[in-house]
Amino acid sequence: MIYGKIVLAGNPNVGKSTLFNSLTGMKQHTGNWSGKTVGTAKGRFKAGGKEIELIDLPGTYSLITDSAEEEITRNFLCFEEFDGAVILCDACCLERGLIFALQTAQLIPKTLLCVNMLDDAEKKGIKIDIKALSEETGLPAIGISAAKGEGIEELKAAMLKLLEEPAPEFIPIRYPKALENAIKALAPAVFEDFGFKTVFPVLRVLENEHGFALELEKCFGHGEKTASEREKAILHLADEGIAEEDIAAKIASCNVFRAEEICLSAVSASRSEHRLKDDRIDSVLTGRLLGIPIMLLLFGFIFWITVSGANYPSAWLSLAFEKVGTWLEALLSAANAPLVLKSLLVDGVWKVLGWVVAVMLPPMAIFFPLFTILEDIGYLPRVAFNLDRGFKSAGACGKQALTMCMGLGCGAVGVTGARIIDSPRERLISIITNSFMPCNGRLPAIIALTSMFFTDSSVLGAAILTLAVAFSVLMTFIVSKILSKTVLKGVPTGFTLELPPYRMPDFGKVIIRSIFDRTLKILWRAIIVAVPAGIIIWLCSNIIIDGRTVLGILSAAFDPFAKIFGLDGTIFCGFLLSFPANEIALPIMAMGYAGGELSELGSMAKTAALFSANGFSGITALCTAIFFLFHWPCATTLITIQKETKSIKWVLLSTVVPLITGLSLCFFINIMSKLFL
Amino acid sequence: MRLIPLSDIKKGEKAVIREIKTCEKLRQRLMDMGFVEGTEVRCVRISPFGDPKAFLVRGSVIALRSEDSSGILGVKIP
Repeated sequence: MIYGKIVLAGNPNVGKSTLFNSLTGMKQHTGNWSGKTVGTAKGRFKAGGKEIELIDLPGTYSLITDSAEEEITRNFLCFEEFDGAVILCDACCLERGLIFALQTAQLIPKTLLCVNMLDDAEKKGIKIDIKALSEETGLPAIGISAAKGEGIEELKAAMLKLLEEPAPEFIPIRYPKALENAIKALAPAVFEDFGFKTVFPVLRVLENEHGFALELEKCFGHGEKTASEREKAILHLADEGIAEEDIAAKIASCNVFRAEEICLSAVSASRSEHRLKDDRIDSVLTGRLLGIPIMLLLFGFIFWITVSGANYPSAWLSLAFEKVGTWLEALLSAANAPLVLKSLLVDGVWKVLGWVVAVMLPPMAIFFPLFTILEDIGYLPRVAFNLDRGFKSAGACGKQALTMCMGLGCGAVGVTGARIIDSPRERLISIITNSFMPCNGRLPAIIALTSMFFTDSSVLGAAILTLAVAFSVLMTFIVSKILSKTVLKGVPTGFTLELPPYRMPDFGKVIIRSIFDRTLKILWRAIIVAVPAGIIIWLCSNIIIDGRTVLGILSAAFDPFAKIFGLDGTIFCGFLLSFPANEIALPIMAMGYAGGELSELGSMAKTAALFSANGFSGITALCTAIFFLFHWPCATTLITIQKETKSIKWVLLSTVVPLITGLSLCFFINIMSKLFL
Repeated sequence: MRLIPLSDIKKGEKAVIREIKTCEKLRQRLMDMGFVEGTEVRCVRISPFGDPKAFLVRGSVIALRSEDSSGILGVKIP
């Protein structure tokens, strides 16, 4: 039995997900940048023996919005049923958080202010007087440090109190006399037409805010009385010297100055002093000369640790799988299992599973915690800041850098994450080009190809990988530019990008979280994909028609076509059959080359020898790596694109664009190699 | 006092906002982030390629492209 429903909202990057996790014991992914939470999450916790449901909403700067992501929050707060709201603010920039909190308090009578990261603020010399904050606003207020777990119990108690007691006496924001009169005149009509008792909807109707008006019409139909009352109010305002187009600005600046006023009595610190340290870090990380080289070095360093660290566990894992494989075989023989079953299980399922786990898991288990640290520190918005010029010339949005970073983890996540981009045109560009970023199913495959055919050195390997990702970024710019000159014509719209304060990550938590939340998830996905894939691949390479295996027939059919692009039929089949998940592309190729004799599929060296024996040259490896970067998104990603864009047209384009890119690049490389090598 | 666009102030310089002349949508967004008339802003960073610039406004740092910040007019202050 749920006692009450409370929503959790606030600016992006104030620690909502961290707080949500520590209250509910759930594991939402968190990160130090705007727009980490897309969509809502629900969880429950107990306070005073009563069960309370908590709803985590995406971070929002304002309830006046057109962006897909912020609309979720706006619509939820305006039109859904719940009993109270907790507005989370960052103690380090309370003023900005209050601008949003005041908007919310104008909409929801039962609002609780919660100031997070008091510990961080204290280190920066900022002191927040919670009592003064509460007195100035008339709202209950609580101070916490969610990452350390300080103040959580008090917050729970305050939330219970919020539910039990009548709504607090919010001290209303004062507007110029003429506006106050207009609000008073309009309020009864808004209540009659739409049922809102609070001032927020009245303000939005008065300033005729587009997004809200659309949503009102959708939910309640056209409000006759409101429309006519508004017309009267506008005429009155014009008489008083306030033009219709200035209303929104007047209201917004009153809110902002009210927030400033509250902070004057609740915050003691000069505004800029505490930024000195961040300034110094930023002058290196986003510096004119150093910004870009350091960015490349940082990513190179992460790839280097990934490549060099993954070698050993990969070798151990593949040895272990081989060992267990022989036991499995012995066990099946002892049980008198039929030869076909034995081969299917050991050579098909077990070998593919072993390959996927040994090759895919170690790099990702190393890469994710490292990348998460970058994320938690707050480096990713700096990447967007550094690269924005490129996105601007490409007619795209600088926040695309953030969705690309998400794409490094998983393409489907990158596609969903594109909601942080306000303009639909720029969002589509980001979705269509997202698969250019090698996801966790492709990155290890490229690492494997590099170590098999290009270099044993982990430093060089990391350099090649960094170069590959940098090349992907370059291609993203080029293709985005082409898209914004053709199918997605338009000029870039205005955007704002916050550079959040740097934060020291909690290393222990990062490691635990990456292992349990991300690595194990990937392992699970690999297993559920690898097992059926193992069976299908085994069948393809063991069902014989006219003396040839099915895989062989398929490969031969595609061979002439694939050869044009520096690939071969087997490689192409590998890509085709790995449509459900890119992880299985390389093992399919290996099986194809081995022609059903699957015993070859063991260590990396054996695989390399097998590939070479089948005419796989350095150029083939290069083309294959390029094709890994640019082909079609996997099935999961395409389904996500369909969900996000609700149009088969964009799904098709998202398939065709990377495919054409990849084929052209491979064709070019192949021709060049024929001409010059 | 001469009004200059924020896109023209150099790193380290300060200005007080007097007018916002961007498109309606962006203006609302800027105001909700604290860019309103009478607010003091300081240019704190310039991206390696010269654009965007990042401004310190009301305790947080917001990056804006030049074509957007050119619509925010202010007067330079020491």
